[in-house]
Amino acid sequence: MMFLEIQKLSKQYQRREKVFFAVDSVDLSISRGDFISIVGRSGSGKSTLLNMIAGLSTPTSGNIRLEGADICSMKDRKISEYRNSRLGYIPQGAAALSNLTVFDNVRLPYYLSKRSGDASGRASFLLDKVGISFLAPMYPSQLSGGELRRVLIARALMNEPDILIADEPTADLDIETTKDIMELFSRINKSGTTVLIVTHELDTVEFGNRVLTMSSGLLTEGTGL
Amino acid sequence: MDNKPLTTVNLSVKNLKRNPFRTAGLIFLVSLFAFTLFGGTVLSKSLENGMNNLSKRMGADILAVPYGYEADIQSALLRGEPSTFYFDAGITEKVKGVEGVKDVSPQLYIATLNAGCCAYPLQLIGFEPKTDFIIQPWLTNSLDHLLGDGEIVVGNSINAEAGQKLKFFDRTFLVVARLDKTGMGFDTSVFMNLSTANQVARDSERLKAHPVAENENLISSVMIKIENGYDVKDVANNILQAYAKESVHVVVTKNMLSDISGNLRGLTAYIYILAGVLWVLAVSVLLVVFSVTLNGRKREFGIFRTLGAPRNKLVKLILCESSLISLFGTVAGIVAAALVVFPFSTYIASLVGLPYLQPSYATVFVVAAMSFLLSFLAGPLASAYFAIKIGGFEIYTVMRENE
Repeated sequence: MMFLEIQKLSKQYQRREKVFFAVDSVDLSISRGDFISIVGRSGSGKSTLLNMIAGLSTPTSGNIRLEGADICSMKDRKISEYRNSRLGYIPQGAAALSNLTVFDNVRLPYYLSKRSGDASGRASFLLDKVGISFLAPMYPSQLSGGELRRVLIARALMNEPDILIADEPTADLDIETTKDIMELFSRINKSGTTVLIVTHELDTVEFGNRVLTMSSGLLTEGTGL
Repeated sequence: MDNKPLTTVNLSVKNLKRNPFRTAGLIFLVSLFAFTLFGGTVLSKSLENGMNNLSKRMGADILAVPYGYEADIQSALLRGEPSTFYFDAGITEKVKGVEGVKDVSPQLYIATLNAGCCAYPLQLIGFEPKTDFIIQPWLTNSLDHLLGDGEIVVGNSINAEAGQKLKFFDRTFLVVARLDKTGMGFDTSVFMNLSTANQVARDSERLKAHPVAENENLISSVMIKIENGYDVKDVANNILQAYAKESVHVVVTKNMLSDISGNLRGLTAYIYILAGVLWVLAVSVLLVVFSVTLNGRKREFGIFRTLGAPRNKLVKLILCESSLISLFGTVAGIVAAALVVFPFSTYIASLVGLPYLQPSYATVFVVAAMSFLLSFLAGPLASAYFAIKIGGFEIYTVMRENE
């Protein structure tokens, strides 16, 4: 059984009178341990695809199965549990909670469902792993773009997810920081976590083992750009 | 580093702390409502209590006063306002002879300029201990003798205890008893027998001419109790018919009380209407403020959902925040009202000019509990709609809205 199986996935939007498919009948199979990069221009539908995989957006048709379980038909509690326990999601932009410190932002996912363990210890370990333990007491507004991205990565890893999904993780970063972040993803992948990232920067695809291209809602294997 | 678990309450507290101005503003709004509701209700209950106490223990059915001083006797009785109006003491015996009159007792009012006990002028009331049925029922512990010369009884708000001495016009008087709290002007009055009152009037001559010093045969009012089976209006008319030509006028206490009751009802209604308007206002303003601030925080809630927070967690978070605001606002408002209403009750009583008697602790507790409940509900009620609505949005859409 594939780790993640996507079949005939579509997302339809209506803009004024016009109906269009942001994602058009996409099929995708992901094996455990894959590092997949989805490239494509802005508006090609790659973020929409990612958000459906992350359970943040409901598909118009098709299904997404994680180890056989259809996440599209899950009730709120179940899909929340999926997002919290099995998935590490890094949204676009500054998606940290501004009222919480870096430390609290990282350990927050731990407290969103019942579990036992040392949340603070794990958060400290992850901050150290992504190289920003010294920023723990700071607030997100006090951080640079690269630092903030590391916070989001650490937060996504908090509950030891099976798959890490990142939407444009290097979008507004300089070349040096982009390289650091991608190396970090590479290390995370080597430790056993499946990684799926969406990017429009072709330089970053070299870190993955598989590249897909999204164009007008259609997904194809390889860099078709 | 703060290692506290990120429970719903801890998250809400962190959020409120990071937005001190918004939090303080919302707390202030709720506290304003709680202040009005609790303070207003205690005030209204105190007035109601004062009124009930007054009608229960007034004692006299009719008050005979010099013509033109009907309003002054009310001020003297209700607010303890120093009054000086007099007529001939012989009126007492004359009134006693009117058909339907059972008991009569004269009173003599003398105003002081100031006294050692108090920073304000006092009403000194001379009465006849043998015939009195007005003052003595209010004594906290009854005297074992009739009030003698040089002895005084003080009102409950006067800062003196039995055994202490007070000085008026350079003469020392022995406090022998203290009155129970009456909620009326008696609380700020000093009582003595008629001969002592006459002596005080003579002493006051050193500062200012006093009619009682010139003529010891003067009194201010006659308290009248009627026989059972007689109509108070008929007896009052009988007195007027017989002695109006001697400048005697009458005040029927039942009428006086019903006038006060009317004023009180108006005031109570006003307080409740104000509290009602403030509640609607508080809920409406909170509704608008919560809608605006919560709308601006959609992305934040989207992040929570992205991280795996189920819908009910968001509802809990939003309700917890608004409940904390309501809790702090309610407690602050009730405490502030208590700090104003209880220590300044005497001042408030004189300000409203109506009988004022604080309700029992049990009543205050019930009022506090009701005020707490109503005030506390304002926050959660105002945020409930948004809390439920936010959970229904598609997370991806919410995340993009505030980008």
